[in-house]
Amino acid sequence: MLGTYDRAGRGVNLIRMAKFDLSNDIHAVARCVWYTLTAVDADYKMHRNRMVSVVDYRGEWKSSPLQFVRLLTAFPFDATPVPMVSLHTLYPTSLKYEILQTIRHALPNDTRLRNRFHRGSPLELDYALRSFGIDLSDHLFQECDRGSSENDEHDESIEEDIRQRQQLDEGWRQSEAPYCKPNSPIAMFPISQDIIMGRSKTVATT
Amino acid sequence: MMHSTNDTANNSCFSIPAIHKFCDPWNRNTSDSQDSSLEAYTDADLAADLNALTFAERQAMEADIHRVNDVIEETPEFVDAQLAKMKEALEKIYIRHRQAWDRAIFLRPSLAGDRGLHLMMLRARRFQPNDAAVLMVAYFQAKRDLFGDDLLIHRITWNDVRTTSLWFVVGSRHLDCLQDILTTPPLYS
Repeated sequence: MLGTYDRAGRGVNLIRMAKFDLSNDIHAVARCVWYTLTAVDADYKMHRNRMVSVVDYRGEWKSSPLQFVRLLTAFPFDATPVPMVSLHTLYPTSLKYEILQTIRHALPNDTRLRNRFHRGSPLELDYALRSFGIDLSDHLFQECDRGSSENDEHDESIEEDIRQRQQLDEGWRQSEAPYCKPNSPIAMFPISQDIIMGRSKTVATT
Repeated sequence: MMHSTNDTANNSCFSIPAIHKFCDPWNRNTSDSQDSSLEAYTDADLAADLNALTFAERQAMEADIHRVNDVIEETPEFVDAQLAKMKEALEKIYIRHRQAWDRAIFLRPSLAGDRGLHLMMLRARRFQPNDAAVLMVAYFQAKRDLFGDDLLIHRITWNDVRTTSLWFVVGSRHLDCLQDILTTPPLYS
């Protein structure tokens, strides 16, 4: 999730397939996607204007298209609180384009109709996205499969993003901390030592 | 007899569904030549899919994509009225569909009155209370499926993403349940 917004104030979510490794644990990837899409719950502007996703298919993939299709079909995109109003996919000028077109069939109906395809050189892609009010020039001209130095730089920006998110998480954790103590006067939610007794049922937390 | 054999082969788990099953909801495109292989989704397919929508649906979608839709004025009276309608709509959703939401309220009763959470769902559905209620239920169902009961009522943090080792199986019971929620009209228990 980029820290910037498009011209209309919508959040921009950039997915680079060359960085997307689904080969190990697709479940972990699904949880990461969920976290990315729902961790903006404090962003009022994004709630109001919603979000645009840009999927960059350029570069060498780390996993097979079928794994990506599996994630697309199984992930509950309709259940995220910041809905994706449009999806822009960027293709390189190559034969791969024809193969990748079939992935569109795997998209849910609503997502497929909100999908717009752009194909060409980085400059052409930049112009195409700008016609929709999205400025990704800083990211588009970073070739995914260039030297390792640029990849490292990109990884550093991801690490920085994770650090910022962890700070937010820590703030939230501290705000919840008073209720996590066993002797807390207010029981906001059950903790590990509690036994919950409900209407005609007994459930113990683990 | 021959016809039924072909049908069986087409419905096996190894076959790829024919294109018109995906992009032609009214089955107008019945050409046999398209059943044999999965072809690229062309602009003509997109145009056909868009034409299958109503005028209002198509307008809303284009407005969303180009961000030319009306900005909803969030006056306090309007927001309060929509919040009340959303809470009513939540009560009317089938109990079997809102199990995760009920569980969340049971574990953390303050969620039922959480104005920020309700408002987030309303904004996501452009202040349509019924749609927002369905989204709320689907949100908690998906969260439960992905992270389990333990994190249902908590904010998901980066550490949870890294360390949780739960399952996420395509076609599982929970995902079927979620699909049920998303596709069934929220009317009503």
